[in-house]
Amino acid sequence: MSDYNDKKIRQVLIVGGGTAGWIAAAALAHIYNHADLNIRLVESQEIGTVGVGEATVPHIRYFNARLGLDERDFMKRTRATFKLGNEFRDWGRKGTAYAHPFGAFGESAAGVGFHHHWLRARQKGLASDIGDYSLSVQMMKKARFSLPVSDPQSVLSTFSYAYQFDAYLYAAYLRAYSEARGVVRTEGKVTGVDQHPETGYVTAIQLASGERIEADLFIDCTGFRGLLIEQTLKTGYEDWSHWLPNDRAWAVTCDIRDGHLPLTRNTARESGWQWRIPLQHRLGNGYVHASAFIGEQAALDTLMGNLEAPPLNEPKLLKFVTGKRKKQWHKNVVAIGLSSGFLEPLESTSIHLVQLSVTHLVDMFPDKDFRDEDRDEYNRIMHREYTRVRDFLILHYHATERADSDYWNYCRTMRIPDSLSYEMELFRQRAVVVNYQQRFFLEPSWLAVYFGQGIMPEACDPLTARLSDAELSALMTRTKSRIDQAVEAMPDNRAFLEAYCPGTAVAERIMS
Amino acid sequence: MRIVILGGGHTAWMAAAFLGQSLKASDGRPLAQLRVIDTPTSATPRTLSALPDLRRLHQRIGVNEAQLFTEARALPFYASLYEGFGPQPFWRGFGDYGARLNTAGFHHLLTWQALNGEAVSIDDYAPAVRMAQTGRFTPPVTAADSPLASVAHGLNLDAAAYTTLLQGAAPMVARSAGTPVALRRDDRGAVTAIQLGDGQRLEGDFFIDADGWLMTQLAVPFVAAGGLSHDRYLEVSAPHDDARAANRFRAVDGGWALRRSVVGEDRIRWVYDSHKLTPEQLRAGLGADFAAPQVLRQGRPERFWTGNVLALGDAAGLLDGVGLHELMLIRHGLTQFLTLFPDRDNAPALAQEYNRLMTQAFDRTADFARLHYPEPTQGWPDSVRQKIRYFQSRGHIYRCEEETASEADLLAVLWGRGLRPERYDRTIDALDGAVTRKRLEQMRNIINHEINRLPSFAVLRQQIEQAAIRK
Repeated sequence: MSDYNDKKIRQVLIVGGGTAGWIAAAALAHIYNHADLNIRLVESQEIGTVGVGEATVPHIRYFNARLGLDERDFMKRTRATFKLGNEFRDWGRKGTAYAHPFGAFGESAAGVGFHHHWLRARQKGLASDIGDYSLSVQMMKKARFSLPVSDPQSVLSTFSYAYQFDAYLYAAYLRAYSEARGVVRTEGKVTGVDQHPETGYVTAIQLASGERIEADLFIDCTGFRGLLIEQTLKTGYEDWSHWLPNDRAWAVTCDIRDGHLPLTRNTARESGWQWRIPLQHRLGNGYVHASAFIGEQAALDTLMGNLEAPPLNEPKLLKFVTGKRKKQWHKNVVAIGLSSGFLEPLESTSIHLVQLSVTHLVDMFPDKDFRDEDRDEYNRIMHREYTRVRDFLILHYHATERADSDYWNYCRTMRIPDSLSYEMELFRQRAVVVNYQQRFFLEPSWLAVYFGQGIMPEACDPLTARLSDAELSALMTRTKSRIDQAVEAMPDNRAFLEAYCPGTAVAERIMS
Repeated sequence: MRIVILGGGHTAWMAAAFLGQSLKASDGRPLAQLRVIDTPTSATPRTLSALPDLRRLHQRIGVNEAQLFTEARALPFYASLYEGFGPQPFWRGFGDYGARLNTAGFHHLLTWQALNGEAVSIDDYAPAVRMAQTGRFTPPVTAADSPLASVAHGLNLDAAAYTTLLQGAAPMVARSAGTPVALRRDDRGAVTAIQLGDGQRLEGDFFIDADGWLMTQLAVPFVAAGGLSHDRYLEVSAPHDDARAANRFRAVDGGWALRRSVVGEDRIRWVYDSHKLTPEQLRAGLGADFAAPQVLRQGRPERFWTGNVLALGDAAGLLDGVGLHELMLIRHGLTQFLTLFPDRDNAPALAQEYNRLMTQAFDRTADFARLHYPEPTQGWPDSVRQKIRYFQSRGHIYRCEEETASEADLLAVLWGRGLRPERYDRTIDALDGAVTRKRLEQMRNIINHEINRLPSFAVLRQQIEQAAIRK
């Protein structure tokens, strides 16, 4: 046991604040005992953070709940709004729109998944758009909101939700949380990194102030540059830009007028896509694009020409390369956030991947021996998560009929990863979504994008024949009317938000 | 859709009953025509062990537990004892091992205690194991907060009696009997009919091979299960010698014997490596004679679903049974087949996906079996090595895609074989040590308290056996 205690890591240093750094700090401070594990964070106000991921996925709620955050307080302090899913415009074809909700499409009947019944009903002219059978899609369409319930008998249990918020404020919120739990923050710019002469392990960082901070384990949250993981350890990068060619984003905020919709809207443009994220007090906008297909100025003009209101700040240009660090944990450095890899925010996964990294780091928390097995298992799990999200993103670009630009011609005809072609073929032949035991986006998500972007299977499950045509028709009607009734009874999203976090949506706007 | 099932044993009739009950419209109208070609099967007794989740298949086909007791000679078991597989005998029970106190898996608490020099017994936290050890039984517990809520039981069944019971549960299935002699195929290679010795020709759109004959005809290559050396088995009957709901494995150099109870008697199955044990040695060990041992070829076909033929049961691969997996794999195959059920067009992606899933499921099941044995000289596959390495290093239970063993199964075997993690989950250090010890003690006491109130299994067994005789 004394051996165990000698080997225990006592000092963790998080390099870089921002959303990733403070998520890591808060989670570690919550889980470990401050007297047992000293957590420090170094950040510099001179270095701006990217503040990615203003839109999120529902897992953030479980993360927040684990930390014991009060939802209303959290929403008020981060100017958060509710999010039921992503709306996609002009993706499969110009002029089309669909929703990828955080929720189900119907319920399975007679032991067969709802979407198979829907396919059969559609062929017989007994069904309308798939979104008509999803409670969350209807809530999105009508801008309604209420909280889900856990009773599986209720249609209100068939959806989930996430938030849209100001990532800077979330970081600030978690900073206060972390500091209250013993995390020590040091302001300063890193000017040097010390490494062990033989092992190459990072031993300390030097600050401009002259201070030197030692630690056992370093968490690199320095963003794209990867100060420790790349600039110091030269870990290498797996480049996925041949599948996901976007490498630039212009971002700007503007006033929010009447657009308090509980959703993030992603509109495909000629050489990329534009996000629209409603917060309580403003709209986040951005144009993610590929520099190989459009110039910086043209991209900026596209964004500014498509704003709903005058901009509130100077547009910012972000540059990135889609892919991931070959090892997200190398030697005694764990890269979390943008330093670990980049997947464009098309499905709002950035913050989720940060939280996942922290969770798996806790599962595989090392000691001073830094055994290979801890790193290997962490890297294996994170690699799987990243590649599965990657495939899901590629689907959005590849499953399209768009032929109106070089960009879309490239995406439509590019060679996709074998793992994705396998899945798409299975779906095309028999409407089956591969049911991996471990992956983030599950069947309803894949169905939303497949159907939304015009991939219609050649056949459905033949066991749909368990229902007669009359039963099938009744299933469609009943599912739809149950949803319509539930949505009718719900308050308007903005009214709900106003009641839930008083003094937010309306009052803040008048003040600003 | 006409489906022809070839085979006369329990696999064929599990498929017949399951598909017969599943391929029905909501108003009862059949969606497929099913026919079993009953092929001759061996007359030697054979015992099967069902893991708890076979209950779902029995519910689907309308067979209840009382019927299994009285008609399939079934007796329940809560855990299996493995002697000679590790430095100490160990148990594998069905259900939970302890409860978490934070995010760390329960067994990290045991490692924490052990590393603090405290005596630890994992069985004290597994109610199913305690039931088996103390010879108790419980009706299913429905209260979610009971320490017995996770307890489940498996069943030992007599294969021949079980087959008869399954036949009764498949009244919608047509039946022919005979020996297949020839195959008819169309110009695309799809099987269209099986010709029997008496000249009958049975046509179908899809064929299920629960016999092995079709797989031989199609010349599907065989993939041996590396490092699993047992190649013979035999089974004998003996009177009951223990009144507990437990299966007992005993390993010797070169093989093992499994003793399990069915209604009226025990069955002892020997599984061994013919290079290390001779029938003479077995005879001496058993003090009894037996029919010639059967050949066991451990491994699987390269593809389970080829064209319009699906292999199931023994035809879809064999393992030595140390993990009691064989009915589980049949059920798993049937469930996956139904999920990917083909229409007459038989889209090729369905077979591809089925084969991907079942190959992984079979290989993971083989890995679970491998964990019971010392590493052979040619070494284990990486998937097994990782399981051992990660557990040894930090108590991490490494799970692959399509793992068929539960976390509790893996824990029972890894811990049971004497592996002790060198580290525990560090989040435990954030708990108050004294409180944690107290809560562990409470867990043990609650389980003991509940177990001590339960009736004896001997009484239940007597009732079952009397009811079976009356039948």
